[in-house]
Amino acid sequence: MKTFKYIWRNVTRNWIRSSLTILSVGVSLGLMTLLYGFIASQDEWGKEAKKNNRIVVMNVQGFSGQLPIASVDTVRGMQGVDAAVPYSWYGGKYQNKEMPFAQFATDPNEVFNVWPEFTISEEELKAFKENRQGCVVDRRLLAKWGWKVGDRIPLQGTFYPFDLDLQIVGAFDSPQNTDSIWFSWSYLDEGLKQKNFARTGNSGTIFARVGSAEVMPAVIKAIDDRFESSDSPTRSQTEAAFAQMFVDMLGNVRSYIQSIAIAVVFSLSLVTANSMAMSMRERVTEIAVLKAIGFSRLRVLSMILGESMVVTFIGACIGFLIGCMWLQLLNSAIPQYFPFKPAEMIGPWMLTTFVAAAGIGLVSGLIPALKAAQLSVVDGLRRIG
Amino acid sequence: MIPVRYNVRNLRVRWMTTLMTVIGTALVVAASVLTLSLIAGIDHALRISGHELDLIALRKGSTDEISSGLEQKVAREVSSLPGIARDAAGQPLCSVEFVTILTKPRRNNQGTTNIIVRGLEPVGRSLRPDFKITEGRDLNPGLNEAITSRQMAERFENLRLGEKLEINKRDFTVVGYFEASGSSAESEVWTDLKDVTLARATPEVATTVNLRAQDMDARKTLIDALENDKRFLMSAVTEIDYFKEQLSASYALWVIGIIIASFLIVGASFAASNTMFAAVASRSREIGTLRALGFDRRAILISFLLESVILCSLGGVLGCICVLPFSGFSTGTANWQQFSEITFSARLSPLVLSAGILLAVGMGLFGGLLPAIRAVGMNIITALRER
Amino acid sequence: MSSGLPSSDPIVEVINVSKEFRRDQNSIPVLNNVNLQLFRGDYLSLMGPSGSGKTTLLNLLAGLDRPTSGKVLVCGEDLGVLSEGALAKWRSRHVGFIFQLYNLIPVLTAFENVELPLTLTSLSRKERKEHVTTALEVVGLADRMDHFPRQLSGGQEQRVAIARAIVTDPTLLVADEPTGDLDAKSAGEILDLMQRLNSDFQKTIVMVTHDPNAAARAKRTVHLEKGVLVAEPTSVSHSK
Repeated sequence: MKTFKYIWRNVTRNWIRSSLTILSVGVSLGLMTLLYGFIASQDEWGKEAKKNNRIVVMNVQGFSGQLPIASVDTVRGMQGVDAAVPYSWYGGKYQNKEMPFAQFATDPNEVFNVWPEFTISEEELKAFKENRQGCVVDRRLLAKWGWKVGDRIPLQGTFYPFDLDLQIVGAFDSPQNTDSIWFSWSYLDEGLKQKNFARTGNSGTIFARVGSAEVMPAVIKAIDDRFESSDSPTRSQTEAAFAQMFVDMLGNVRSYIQSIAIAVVFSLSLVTANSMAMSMRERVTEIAVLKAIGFSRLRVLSMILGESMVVTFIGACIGFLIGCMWLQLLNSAIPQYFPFKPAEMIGPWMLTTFVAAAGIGLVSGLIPALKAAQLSVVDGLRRIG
Repeated sequence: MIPVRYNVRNLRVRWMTTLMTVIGTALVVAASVLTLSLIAGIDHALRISGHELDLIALRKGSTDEISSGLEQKVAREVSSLPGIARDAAGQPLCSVEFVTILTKPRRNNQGTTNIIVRGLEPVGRSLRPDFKITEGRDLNPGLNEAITSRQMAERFENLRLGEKLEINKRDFTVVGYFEASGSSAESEVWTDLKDVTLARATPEVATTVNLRAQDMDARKTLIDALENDKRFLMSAVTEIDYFKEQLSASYALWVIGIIIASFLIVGASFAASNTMFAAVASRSREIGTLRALGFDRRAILISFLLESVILCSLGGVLGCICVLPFSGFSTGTANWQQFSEITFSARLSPLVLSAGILLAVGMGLFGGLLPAIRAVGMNIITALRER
Repeated sequence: MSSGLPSSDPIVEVINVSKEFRRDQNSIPVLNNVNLQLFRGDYLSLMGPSGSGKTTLLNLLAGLDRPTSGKVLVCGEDLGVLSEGALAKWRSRHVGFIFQLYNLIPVLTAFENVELPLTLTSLSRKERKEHVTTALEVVGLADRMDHFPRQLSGGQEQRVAIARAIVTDPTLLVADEPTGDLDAKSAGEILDLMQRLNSDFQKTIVMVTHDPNAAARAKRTVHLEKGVLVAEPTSVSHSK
């Protein structure tokens, strides 16, 4: 502890230099935390999806294909399936904003059986089932837009030539911010029929819940086999695999983030090494005195390494805070890209910042520390002459 | 003014510190420039794709090709409308196309993504900017052949020359690579209209009519004609407008890129500041001497700021040189509008490079300011007494 | 505390020691066949013109440097065969240093400066505190223990440095121009203190100095000239 006090005094000795180095490390590692947090939030999505035994059924041709609404009943009737709903992405504009939140057309009677972890009061669910133009909203979305139950939500279609005039009949609670509103699939489909839309009766995708994780592969195979020779062959997958597909679409963002991180780490190593070297140059005599008194090489080495590690560690703490603040901020601003708060995705990724800091501290302190350890006492003392 | 030579010499004397700072700066500038060049690549891909006389006609109510659906027979009638530009052979520049999306694996186990497959006829090629076959040959209709861009071939399984891409259990052989000035066409796989609609079991269906107006007046007339003619049930937008929505996504990317770059630059400018503080501290006697010789505070301030700017600019230039090999390096990102991936190349345009240098200069100014002010604030007498 | 050697055995033996420095291709002889013996309770002053090799000899005695040839034995131990690490350990136990420019660590208080060499021992915090307080009392600065070096006068700084040198109860105290940077009054105080350490605490001291008045306080004085030890003159020589 004694030694730590001395290290700390050395860190604070040239406070301008130390704070500049710490800030430099802090800001850059803040960026790294933010970027890795983004990757982690994508991974978390996939992990979250694994918890629930849901299957996503879509046309074998992907989003551009169709699934007739009758398929929902077929899926629902299959062995192992507890509940199934159509789930169709509407993607409309609200107040002329493109995709301000997610909107899904689904079956009010069944949807809370497919998502049993989402909760809603009984009266509101009843209203949702009875009101053809009713919709239910994630409570966080409700708060974000300042809506109240009873408000009307007009949406302009972009994919579909039919505008919706929805009324909020309730709010549901979900483990994570889904940023979604749910409305009745039949309201949309009837509207499309009136507009003579070519592709009506399309459920989009089908979300189904099965009893246990063990039967999932069998159910998936059964569904795909069942539709194999129909007009709309299906491709079914677990919700986790479905989520992974979206994560995959980010593609090279991952490697881009990694290369930025590498550049940051290298650059910071140089910056910190430079600052340590400048400090050491001013302290040659002092180090010689320590060695004369009997401080071993190892002790001198670890004292200086300790100093650079303390600096980068403080920087990492600041950076981590900056990064998490941004993640929190982005979570409330654009939850579709940042669906999780930092507190909701605590995990090993958080160590990245600190591991990087430790690496930077070690690398940057090493050369000055070795130099100091090698310093000849006689030469060091002569400097003051 | 204190001669610049003085600053340059000083940087050279403290070469180790200078070198470390320059390399540190260079890395940061390189990362920023690379980020900006990738965004510039997306921006370019979307911008070059929109020709001002070109129109995209979709089924009424659709805003993208995927959700559109037209009867081929009806779509073909569009070419008889007046005001359509003609090619050298007198053919109207009006292309009936079918677009579909396939979920395909990336190379090297990088997961799967959606790629756009477009079926079209030869006339469609004249509607793309500088379309040319760079390797292999163009496809022959009726033989289930396909062409794509080299970038796509490198990024996805089954897209290299001679490889086979499966669409609904039919194999399409890749026979050539094309280029189209880095436009969005380079993110697509092209095949024959008839072949792909047959494979998709949706013969006689199209999604898009792509056409070029003779001039701006004709463009207006064509839009009105398509909108109002009951035969078509279509609506047409200019390509510029069509890509504008996707460009708004690219604006968002610019914002993200600039946030990332500013994080990096602010971080690095603290480092530059550190170097300059050390320079000021080690030269306090010199500063006293200069002041004693009669240089005023402003000259000292400018001299140190200049030194900081030179230091960081060196890093800026080095950083820009470091990313030059990445020019043309191609990658992809999600296009959320169509749930597909657009492939694009890093574009080290003069604008991006000068932004890199500008960032470095800004870093020098920002980082040098406090040290320079400290140098100016020194008392001549005490400064002279420093050892 | 003390090592209990019979005082007839020399504590330090310098046997045929030569030292050369190499600069580029040339080797510059600094010490030439020096022989010297020190006994427990000795107080030796080392004089000579600049460049005569005084500091080099002192560094050899203190285990900071190794001779080119010959042997330096301290308490019967041959310093030449010790490794760098062993030498550092040896110094921490056997040598206390007093420098011309005091060389206190500016970021540590007087107390912490004195405590510094004790951090290399296995003493408990409480024991350390006792030792430091005692050492500071000996030099008369117990009331200044929480001051930083820059808050002390030159003479006080040097007294703190002396406290740091004696706190481990070393076998040998080496002082390189301990009064070289001080005014006459402070210098006098420092020399008084050193003399007291020698007479009251039987400390063995080697002091390099230019100042004949300082040398006169030692029990004996040796002269170095061009790397050669000139016959040990008796204390009369200081009058010159």
